[in-house]
Amino acid sequence: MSAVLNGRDLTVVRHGCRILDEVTVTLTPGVLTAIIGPNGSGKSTLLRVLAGVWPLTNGVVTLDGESLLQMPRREVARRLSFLPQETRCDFAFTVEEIVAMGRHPHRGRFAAENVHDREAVHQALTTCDLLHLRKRNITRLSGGERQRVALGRCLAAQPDVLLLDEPTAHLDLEHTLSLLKLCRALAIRGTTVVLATHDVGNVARFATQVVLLHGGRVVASGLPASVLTPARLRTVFLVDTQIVSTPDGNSALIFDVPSAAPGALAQGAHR
Amino acid sequence: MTGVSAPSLAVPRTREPAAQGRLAPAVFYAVVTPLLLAGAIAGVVVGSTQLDWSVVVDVLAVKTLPASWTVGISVTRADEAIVWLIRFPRVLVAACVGAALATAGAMMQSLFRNPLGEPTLIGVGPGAVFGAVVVFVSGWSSTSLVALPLAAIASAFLALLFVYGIATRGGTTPVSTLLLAGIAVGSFLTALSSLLLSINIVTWQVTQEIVFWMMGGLDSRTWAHVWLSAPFIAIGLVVALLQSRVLDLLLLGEEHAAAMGVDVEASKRVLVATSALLTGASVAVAGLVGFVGLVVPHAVRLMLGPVHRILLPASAVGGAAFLILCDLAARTARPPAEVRLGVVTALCGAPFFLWLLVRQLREAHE
Repeated sequence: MSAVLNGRDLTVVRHGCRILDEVTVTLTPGVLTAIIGPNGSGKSTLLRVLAGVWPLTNGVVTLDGESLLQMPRREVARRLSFLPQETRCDFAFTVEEIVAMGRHPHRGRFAAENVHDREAVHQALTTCDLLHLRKRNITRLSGGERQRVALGRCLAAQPDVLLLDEPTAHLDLEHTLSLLKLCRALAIRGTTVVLATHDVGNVARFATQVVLLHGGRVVASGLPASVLTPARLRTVFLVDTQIVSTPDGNSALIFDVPSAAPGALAQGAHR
Repeated sequence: MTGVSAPSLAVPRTREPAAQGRLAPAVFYAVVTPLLLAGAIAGVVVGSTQLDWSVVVDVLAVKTLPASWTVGISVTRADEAIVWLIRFPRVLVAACVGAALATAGAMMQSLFRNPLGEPTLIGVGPGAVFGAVVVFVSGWSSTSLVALPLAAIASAFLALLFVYGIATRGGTTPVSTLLLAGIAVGSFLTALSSLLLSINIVTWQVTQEIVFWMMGGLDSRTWAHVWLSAPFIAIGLVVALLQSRVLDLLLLGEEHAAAMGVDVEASKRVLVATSALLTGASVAVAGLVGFVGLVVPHAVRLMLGPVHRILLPASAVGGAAFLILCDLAARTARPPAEVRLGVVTALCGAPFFLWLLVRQLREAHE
């Protein structure tokens, strides 16, 4: 129950714009990969093409050596779960109904839910701290709770590969850390976990592999310590970075906008 | 398996599970099915010639059971004609059309992820009207009973193909573009229909027929109308039901559905074609009956929730009951004249819809 997801020379051109430019990534079981980069650097597009839901202009994505686009969609969905960034739904499903939808690729076209489906749903509800909300109408949940429901739906599929697009976007501090710990634990258990995120500070702490994107190209990839250097972060994110040692023997990143060159946001704040 | 403890996002909670605020499907059917049957029976019994229950039962027995079983039963030719040739097909057409419009409405609301969705929005309704007007104006409607329904279905599909063709680029059809193209083509066809009517000097009788048809109605429906619509509607209902899980997934968003293994574009084509089939077959035999496709699925969703496995059959049964009762009201409100069916559905549907809406808003604020 593990799978290697490979992307080679991934290029996406839309409306004459190169959103991804010959990106090559290897995502292996047991590794928690974080894709980081500024807004518009191609993180979401990379996840979409890795999930096989967007067409490629060039390049190939393989799952255990087999081309993703050649595989039947349901077969892909059984092994690979993708959580898109937008998780809004205005229709009054219950939490449990949404999570159970994650079983769709495993169920026969007209088959009813079986014991295994129900177990997987219960497990996902428990894992995402949703058991007490399971009968709740999702339109009445907070953004963070909805995000956990969407994650629960992905986990219910019991995938080999988990692709998450900004999964911590609406989460409070507590649930952000819990989610990152969950991702790490899933990776250790043999799942290939990939997340696109803006949370560079936590990436340094939790990820085991970092892919840094800028302008649709991979600027650097590898271990967090080797990718997240102050010089590189300054070039890509235009921020100053300090690496400080924490009492537990780890290190943490502290960011600041360079004082010599205040950004547009800072200028706006002074007005 | 490594020695990792079961990972979880769980943190201590005090909140208790809340009720869903949904009706059990069994309760819904326990109320709606008797309504449907009572409406159907009343639809056959009540009319300008008041019949006795026993006469209705006798005629239905003679007509549906093997001859050897009904040896002792005798019915008059007049009673037989009223029950079997006039009133019974009318009730059947009402049930078919109600079920079809409500199901098509439910599908469109889900496809567009918008509670205001209706089959008319993708140009199907105006397309059917245009076909019907052409048949009326050309005089074919008086030469053949099936000319009008067939033309309505055919032009509904042509309109849909045109809309779909315009909205599709590079193999994908964004629903927002589909909606806009549908509204534009629909408006254009409605204008063309009006133009055809205004430049053709038609007799008062033909004009009246057209206006009546555009307001919807089930007067003088025969078995021919049942056979013209029921097979298409039966196929449409079955296909809709088979798509119920895909419809659930599409409500989460197309990207989510694709990630869960749904062939989104193929599913959209099936859904749009099915709802055009249901709508075309309904408009062909009952004219334009508004509000059923909007109000019935919406009401059922408020009561039973959005899961299509439950929503679609309940909408079909609810739509059938609603239209049978509306037709009964249309026939009995001010006899011997009939109020147009489309008028009754809107007059009954709109207040009920508003009541549901207000109730929902009140609940949301509590």
